[in-house]
Amino acid sequence: MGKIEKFISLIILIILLILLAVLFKRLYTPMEVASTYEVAVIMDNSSEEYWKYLMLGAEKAGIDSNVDLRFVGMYIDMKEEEQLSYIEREIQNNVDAIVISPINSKALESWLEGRKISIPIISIGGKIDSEKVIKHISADNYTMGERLAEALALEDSLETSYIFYPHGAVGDVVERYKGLINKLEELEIAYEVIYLNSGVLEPGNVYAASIASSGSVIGLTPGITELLSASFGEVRSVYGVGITDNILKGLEKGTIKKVIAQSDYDSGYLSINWIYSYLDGKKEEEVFLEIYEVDKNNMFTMPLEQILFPIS
Amino acid sequence: MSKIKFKRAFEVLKNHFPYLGIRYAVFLSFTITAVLAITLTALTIYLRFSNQIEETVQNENRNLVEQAKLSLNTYLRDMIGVSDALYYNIIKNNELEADEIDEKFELLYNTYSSYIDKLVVFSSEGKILNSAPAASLSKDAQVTSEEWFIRAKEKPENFHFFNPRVERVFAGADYRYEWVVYLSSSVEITKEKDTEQGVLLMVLKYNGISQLFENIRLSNDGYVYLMDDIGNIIYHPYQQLLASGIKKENNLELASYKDGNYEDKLSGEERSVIINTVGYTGWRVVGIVSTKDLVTVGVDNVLFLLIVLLFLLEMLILVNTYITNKITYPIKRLEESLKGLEEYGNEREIYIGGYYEVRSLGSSIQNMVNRMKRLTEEIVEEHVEKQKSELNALQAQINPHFLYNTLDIIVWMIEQEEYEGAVRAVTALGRFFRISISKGRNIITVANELEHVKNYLLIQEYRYKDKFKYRVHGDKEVMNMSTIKLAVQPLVENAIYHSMDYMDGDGIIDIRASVRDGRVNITVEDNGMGMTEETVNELLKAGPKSTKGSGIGLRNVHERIKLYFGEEYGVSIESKPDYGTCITLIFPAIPYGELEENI
Repeated sequence: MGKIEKFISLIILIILLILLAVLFKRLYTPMEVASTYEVAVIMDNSSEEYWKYLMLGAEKAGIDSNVDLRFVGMYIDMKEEEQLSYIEREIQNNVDAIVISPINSKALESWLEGRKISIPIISIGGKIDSEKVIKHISADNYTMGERLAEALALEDSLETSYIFYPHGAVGDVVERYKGLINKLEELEIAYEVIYLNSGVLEPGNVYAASIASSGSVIGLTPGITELLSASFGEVRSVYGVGITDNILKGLEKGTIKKVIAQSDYDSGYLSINWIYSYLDGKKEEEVFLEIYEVDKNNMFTMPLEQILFPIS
Repeated sequence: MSKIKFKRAFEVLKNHFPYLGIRYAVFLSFTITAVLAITLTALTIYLRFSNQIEETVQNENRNLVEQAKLSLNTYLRDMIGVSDALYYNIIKNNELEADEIDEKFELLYNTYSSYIDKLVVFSSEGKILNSAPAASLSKDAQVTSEEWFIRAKEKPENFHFFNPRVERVFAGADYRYEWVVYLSSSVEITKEKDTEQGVLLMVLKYNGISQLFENIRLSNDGYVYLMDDIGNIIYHPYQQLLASGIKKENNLELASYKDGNYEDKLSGEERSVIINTVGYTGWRVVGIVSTKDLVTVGVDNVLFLLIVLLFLLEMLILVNTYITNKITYPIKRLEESLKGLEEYGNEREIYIGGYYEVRSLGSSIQNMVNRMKRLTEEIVEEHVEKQKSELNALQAQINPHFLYNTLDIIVWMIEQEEYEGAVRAVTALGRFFRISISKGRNIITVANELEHVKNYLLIQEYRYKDKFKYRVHGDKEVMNMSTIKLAVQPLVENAIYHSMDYMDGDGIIDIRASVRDGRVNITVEDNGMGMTEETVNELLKAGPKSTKGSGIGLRNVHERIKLYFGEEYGVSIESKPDYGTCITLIFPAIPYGELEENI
């Protein structure tokens, strides 16, 4: 065999062996069905209503991305210390990532400070100002506040509007509030802020004495919106934030004039989708959550009907 | 410009690339041909194979879509069947307010409650006449304005399916937002023996349709969705995300396509689309498969094919090398043995081996070499013989007896004061020996040869006083012809010693040289004793050494002529006892200077 023949023969043999090795590896190593990740979704103390559609969206993304989801804190009236302990527990359970809707963003920021956490954390709902939280997924709350103000501006009468500011509001609620009042001032709409003493708004028009007999009332959270609907819905225009079944009923009945909302289903889907891309080393896409203005007239039209009533 | 550069590069390669031996030429030819053949075959098989795989996968997808369509068809027919059963078995010709009708309604509802949310019969004014379960209208419901109501009344012969919607026509104890599909049809209501046109509404649970499609997976990430005839989505696995714009679908565009398979592109992704229309409703089942999935199926096969190809190539190289060696090795060895022959001469054997043609070639070359060897040996032998003969002839010329006798004669003549004769004899002797030696040349002119024999005869004349006379004559044209030296004198010597010695003065020796028919003829004729035929025949066979004279004889001359000029020339003898002898030398007429000395 000549030198050239030997050389060519050797090269071909090497390539052949490499390809054989590759083929055997492909055929005989168990096929990984795209890496399976475990993600814990730590809920806040919002109602089941609030989480219903978010969970639907998250579960859909989990199926598509092969992510095992664990919803922690479901249906429990959770305090912030409990939530923090859940985070600790899930980290010790070696989850691959955590999605959290903080009860108290500030408290969580302090808790994360100085802790060594090697897994990614993303927040939905309230924003957490910490380098350990790598992404916040939510609609722009400031803009939501502005859109609420713009909705008010369409009222026929421009009486003073009453903003019900929840006790201990942080993060997203504060952002909404800022957007709302800045816009109201810009639009020269008179408003008054009612500071709630406790975390709940007691029904039965308890605040009726402190506000004028007319004028719109504005809730900055879904819970407050629901209660405003129950308390004031028959007699004044109620504006609010968020989508729950009660809010939808209020809209349908007419006890809620208009709400500004994001799609919780989308929020759930996009958060899990994003964390999967991150864990899988793929390019993470920017997340934009639309803001919708919902009233009685458009709630059953497409595409809002689909967005407001996700098929379970 | 690039064409010219390419041509130049090709020329440079052609001129400077070392000449490929037959081995590489054969190897490359075999390999290139085989590689081309294998590659073409493999490519053809791969294309066919991958097309078949793609076809198989597409068929599988088509079947799944067909299956989904059939399932939906069955579902729709079943619902129509329930509607029919409700109408013909319960509603028609019966008073709807009767208790037993309620029971039948409930029974039918309970039977199909997993698919049906409500069964409601409306009067022509839109009033609920009966329902299962019990139902009331919501506050804002305007039944007579609802499309399902209007269409049922306008087209009483048909069943009318409507796209999914959130239920809001009917009120409940608690507001529920469920997705439903309405199926309405016109019914004949019997009321106190009168009939009127009413509307039967079946409120179908949406999951009756969605569960037909939910678990269908086409080729990994492929999916199936359902749209109406103008492209509105009825079911889509990403319905919510389509509504909010997070995902995209080109359902409106596909609505214009007929049933069949299509390739399309959405958001940069190549897809295969399968469309199948469901009868009666005009709804369309659409299957979507990313073509990236189809290609992935083939990666392992491509790998496998490459491996087989490379393996074949490797085997090919080994086999080609073996075959090439088998063919060219004997040629190489033959070449080497020829080189060896060139360098080392006849000592090396020529290689004879390999295939028939090479063996034959080697054998022929070996035979040629052997013949050359033999010829060379013959030439050498001939040359040696010539040299021997020349030496013999020369040796004969320097025979001491002739010299002594001649010197004796000269001494006697000097003693007899026959100085002139002595001078002539000495001169003749000198000339005789000069021509004998001829500066070592073997070929001289005929003139010189005749001169040589004249000198000899002059000397012998003194010795054999008056015993014989002689005459030497040569034609003009023969004088410059070539002859071997010392050819005539031995014959004259023989004539003197064997014939003239016995003559009493009337002996004649006649020497003549001429050219006839391109040949030189030199005859030496005497009128002496003659010889018998037997003696003549014996003369040229053996070489009797005569005791008289030079002793080299006739045979030497005959052999030398043959050696120099060829077998067809030589000495011929004619002799008759008592009459004399004529000896003729015959050889080709070649002018002096044209004949190679060293033949």
